[in-house]
Amino acid sequence: MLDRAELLGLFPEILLWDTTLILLVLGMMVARTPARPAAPFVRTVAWLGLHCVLLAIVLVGVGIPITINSIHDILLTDSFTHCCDIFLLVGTAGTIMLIVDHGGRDTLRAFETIVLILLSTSGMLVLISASDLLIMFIAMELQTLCFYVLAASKRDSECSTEAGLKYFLLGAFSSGLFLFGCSMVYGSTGVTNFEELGILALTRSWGVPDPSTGIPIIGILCIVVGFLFKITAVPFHMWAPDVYEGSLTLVTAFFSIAPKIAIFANMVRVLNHCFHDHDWQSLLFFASIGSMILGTVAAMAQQKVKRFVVYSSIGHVGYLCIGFAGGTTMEGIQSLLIGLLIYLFMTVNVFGLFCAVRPVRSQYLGDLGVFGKLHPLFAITFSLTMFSYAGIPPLAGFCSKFYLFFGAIRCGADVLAGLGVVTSVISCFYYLRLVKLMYFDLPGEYMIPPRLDRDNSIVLAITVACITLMFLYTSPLFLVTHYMAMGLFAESGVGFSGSVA
Amino acid sequence: MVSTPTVAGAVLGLAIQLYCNGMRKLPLMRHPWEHVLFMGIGAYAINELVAWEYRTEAALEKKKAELLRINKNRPVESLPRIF
Repeated sequence: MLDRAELLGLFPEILLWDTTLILLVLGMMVARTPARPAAPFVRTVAWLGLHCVLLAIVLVGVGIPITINSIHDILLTDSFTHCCDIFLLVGTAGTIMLIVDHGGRDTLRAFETIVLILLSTSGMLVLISASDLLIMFIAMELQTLCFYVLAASKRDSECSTEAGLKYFLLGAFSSGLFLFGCSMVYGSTGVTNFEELGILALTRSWGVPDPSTGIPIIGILCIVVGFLFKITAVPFHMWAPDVYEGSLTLVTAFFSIAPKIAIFANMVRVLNHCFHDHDWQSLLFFASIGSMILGTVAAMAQQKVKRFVVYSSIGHVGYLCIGFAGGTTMEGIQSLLIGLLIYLFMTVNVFGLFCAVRPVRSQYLGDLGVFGKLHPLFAITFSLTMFSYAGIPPLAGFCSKFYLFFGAIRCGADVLAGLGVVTSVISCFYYLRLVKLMYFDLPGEYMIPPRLDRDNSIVLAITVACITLMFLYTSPLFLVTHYMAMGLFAESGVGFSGSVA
Repeated sequence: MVSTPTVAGAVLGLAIQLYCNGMRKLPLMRHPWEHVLFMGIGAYAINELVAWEYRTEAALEKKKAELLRINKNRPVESLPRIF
């Protein structure tokens, strides 16, 4: 039986599940009426979904971030999960706000898209709070199963169907590998709870005689590979370009934002709580190097907008993995969280811009040329986001890269920091190429830029404000990430040493 | 006397509304009451942010002291034995 505190901690998840069920039933009832057009109903469902997510943000925000172990210690709520939940819900709300207006367009006809987004978000909330290998796997599967359907949601498109199928096959393989790792860990230790695994790892690293055979390295590596697949880190990124390109732009936006927050949060929890011996460190080290290099080199050759964004995202995953360079230190975790939050704002902004120009032909990078001439404010916003992605001061992207590299140097990973700087400089070439395309190249054909809808313009305004002002007023960013990192270390039982702030 | 966060928030709110109208290719001062509304929301949000910052700083200091105390008195034998 749940007590009051446990129930309050689970309110956001329960709210999302209830809304999902209600919207599904409502959709079934309305969809049976043939006279009713689909588009306005999708818009209504999107509005209801958005309000549900905003209510969930309020529920999480007003709650006190105290440490609660719920349902026989399989879920853990603390200050770290509290803030990660807010990041995730903000990212989801941003994505749904981009979707609302698209309800009336041809690209998004099915109300199930919103329902699946809400259902996968609830899975991600559970994933962030997961404190047990089994519940972690179940939450990850709940999220991923929704993603398979979302990827194939453009039913009359061959590319979308291919994307869904490809994602399903490779996702099933990675889930199998992940489960295999979990079963190996359970087989050799007899426990699945993070806290118990952490105590076992501590006794081993402190030289206390180990009653069991210890945690097998191969099991840990299988789990880490499962994580790397989900965050599209090299060499497990192969599925991402095709899946992201084949899916709807709005679904691609959701894939690029929400799961990365949930998986990174869970990854930090697992690696910090359970596996302190850093057997996984070299794997993440090489994944980070590979992602930075491949993301930079491959993005240069892209002509299509979505593929460009995907490779850019792979490069940023490489930068974020630098946060794990020194194992799980306070500096590393804090810089990772700073990078993740800034990545969230930049990605919402860039997809907001792409969604805004979706009605006109904007599949190729060359099509963006028209906006420099006909919509100067759009061009300025796009340029600011590209400068931020490139890490040029005084924008938020610089802040993110600076603290990631600074954290790596503090942890002794000078190679990663040096390579990060080199790849950042190279990446400036293709980010600035887009700015050149808009301002200096003549477009192939002129077209009337579409008028943005209200929701999209508000999302763009807020994200642009964050990108430009975060560098000037960094203390809230530092405080929240420091608070989260400290909450994580307080719960892990491994103590802490110093901080960036 | 109006405080700095209030002014900064109001300016930010106004800028956001002007930007929204600019992006939508509408007259910048269209529906002026929306500008006032956004200025109010901005001022409230920034004041809340500053208040939250003070609260979080205090909570952090408390947590830091607690963790340092735990770190100092952490013998290996104090670990719970589950195996």
